[in-house]
Amino acid sequence: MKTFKNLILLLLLLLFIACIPQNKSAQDAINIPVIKVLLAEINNADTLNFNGTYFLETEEARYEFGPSNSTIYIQVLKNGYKIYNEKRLFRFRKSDRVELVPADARATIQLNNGEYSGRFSLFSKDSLSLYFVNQIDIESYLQGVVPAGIFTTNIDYLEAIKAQAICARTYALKKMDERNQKPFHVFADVRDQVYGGVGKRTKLGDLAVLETQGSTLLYNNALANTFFHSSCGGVLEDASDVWQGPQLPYLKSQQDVIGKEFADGKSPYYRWIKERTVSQLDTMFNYTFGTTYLNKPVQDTMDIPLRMRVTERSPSGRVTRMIVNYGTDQHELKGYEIRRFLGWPGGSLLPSTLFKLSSSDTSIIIKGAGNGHGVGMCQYGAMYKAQKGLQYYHILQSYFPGTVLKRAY
Amino acid sequence: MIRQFKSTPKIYILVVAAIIFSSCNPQGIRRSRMQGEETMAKPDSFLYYQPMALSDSFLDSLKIENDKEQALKVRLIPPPPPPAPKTKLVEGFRVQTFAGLDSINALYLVERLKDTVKDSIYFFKENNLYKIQFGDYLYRNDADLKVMDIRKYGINGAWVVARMINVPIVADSSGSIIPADTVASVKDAPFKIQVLVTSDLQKAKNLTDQLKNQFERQSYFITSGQLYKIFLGKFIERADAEKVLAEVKNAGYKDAWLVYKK
Repeated sequence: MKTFKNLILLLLLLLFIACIPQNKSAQDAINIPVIKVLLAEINNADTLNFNGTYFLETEEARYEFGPSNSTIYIQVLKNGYKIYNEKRLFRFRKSDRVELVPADARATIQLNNGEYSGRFSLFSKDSLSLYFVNQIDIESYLQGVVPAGIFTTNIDYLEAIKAQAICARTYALKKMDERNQKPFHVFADVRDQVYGGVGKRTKLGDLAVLETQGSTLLYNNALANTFFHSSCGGVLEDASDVWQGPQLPYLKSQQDVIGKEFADGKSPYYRWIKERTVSQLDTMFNYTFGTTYLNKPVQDTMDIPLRMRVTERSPSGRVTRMIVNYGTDQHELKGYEIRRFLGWPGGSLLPSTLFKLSSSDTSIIIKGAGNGHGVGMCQYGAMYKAQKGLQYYHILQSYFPGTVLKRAY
Repeated sequence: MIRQFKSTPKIYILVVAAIIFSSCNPQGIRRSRMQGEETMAKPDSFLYYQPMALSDSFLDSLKIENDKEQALKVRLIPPPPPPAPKTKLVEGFRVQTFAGLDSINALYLVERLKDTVKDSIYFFKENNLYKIQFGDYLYRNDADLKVMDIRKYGINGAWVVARMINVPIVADSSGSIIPADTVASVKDAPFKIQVLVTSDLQKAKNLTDQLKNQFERQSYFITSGQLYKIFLGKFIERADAEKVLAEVKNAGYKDAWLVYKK
């Protein structure tokens, strides 16, 4: 009977111990790195709305903003800036730094139709503008990044979304290392990764970030370059053929295949056709090189020759060099310039450089494949592989062969 | 048998305890598996496969030797000649209703004119003054009548000014032969040039003689109240009259103008 009592005691002890890891996991959360995201450069004036309570902290004082005074206006002045609303007015010098600290984790700030959580800093960039920087733990940051990078509406894509989360985390941590001494680590737009904030979070995005918490992709014990793009058109590109950097063994050209089919075969950009008319080409020449003939008055009917020729391709088949002639002008285009030149209207991009040219009497026909630079993870390919049952580490291994997964925290 | 029965509850309790522990704390098991390990993405699934090389007609065709030069011709066509003007500028008269520095009042007056006048209205700045004129009248008499007309609408103080006016271009009849029986006699000629108006009879006589000699055309003067109006020539065609008028003006008679009277 005594033994039985001991066993009961032991059972209760085990139950108590089982509860302890919860505290431990909360302690782990403290070690998640905080990333600084540049949300906006305020050049003239802007408005912030608080959902919940925030404290405006300066070196000397601390003021509360909450439901009763939830809007503040920021205006850049000649020698600094001011923050004000109907009840309060603060003037700051150029050297002053203002912190906006949330009273609790649920408090958020609205800026330009975006909603963001975490802590915020406001400080002068120069005499004309201010930096508005969001300081947030990297896992929460990724919850706002992943949905902006890949479709997070279909549970079938969960493993691909996880792979995307790992790529985004690795990229962010790499930028944190590189820009350690800068006022911020990443831009919130395409200059780094598009960050949509709390308002853009999705259930699957959150789940993918949670289930891969802390996981990063390493090569030779260093964070890997986790490039990704929308659609590869069936074949991935070697990074050194796009950016002329050192060769990276895990970013080589290869076919993106699952079973007996191309992984991104379902992508809307798997194969595409674009047509560029004489008038559009004249505009492109004008936009890129300042050469135009169609707008020039002539005394007599005359024909101006317009020629294009691909002169170099990478092993994946992507165009790396081409020569364009218009009248007496001749130009050689390389890499990204090709996508910019053949994009339409001026300023947009051709989907990819994986194309071939043909022509009709009045236009150039561009038959192409894929969307994006083609290096690293092909998102449509990853989604299809996830549908077919591959796990996220299989997907990552297929796009970054030779890398390893490791928890950074 | 009894010994077996006694030990069974202990085993059951231990098993239950293990289940409770593992279910309450799954992280413990997972964490021990992942803690600090370098997880090479292992081919541990039966779905993992060695991707095979596929042939594709599009991808296979992307070879530099297949890239031919693509040539187009951009045809440049000269623009069509500009359309012929519908009006031409000739000397004539307009009614001026305003000349001043106040553009607001001028605009207000333009709006009023739009309601009362059917002729073309001109609003422009000339010599630092805003001016409003309307109508393109070949004959001063028509312009004078319009001045009277707009008084009915409360627009007083308008006056007639001589300036270049727009007249519609009619089909060019130059080169066509006019039948002899349609040629009007000089007696019926409606155009004449009024060179000067003076109250000095002697001056009128002298100028009449001078004009006769200078332009070799008939010149005469008529009495109008206290004034003497000196005229030069009689013209059937306005174009002929305008030609002589230009000569008269060049000779120094700047106030000369064309008079039409049937």
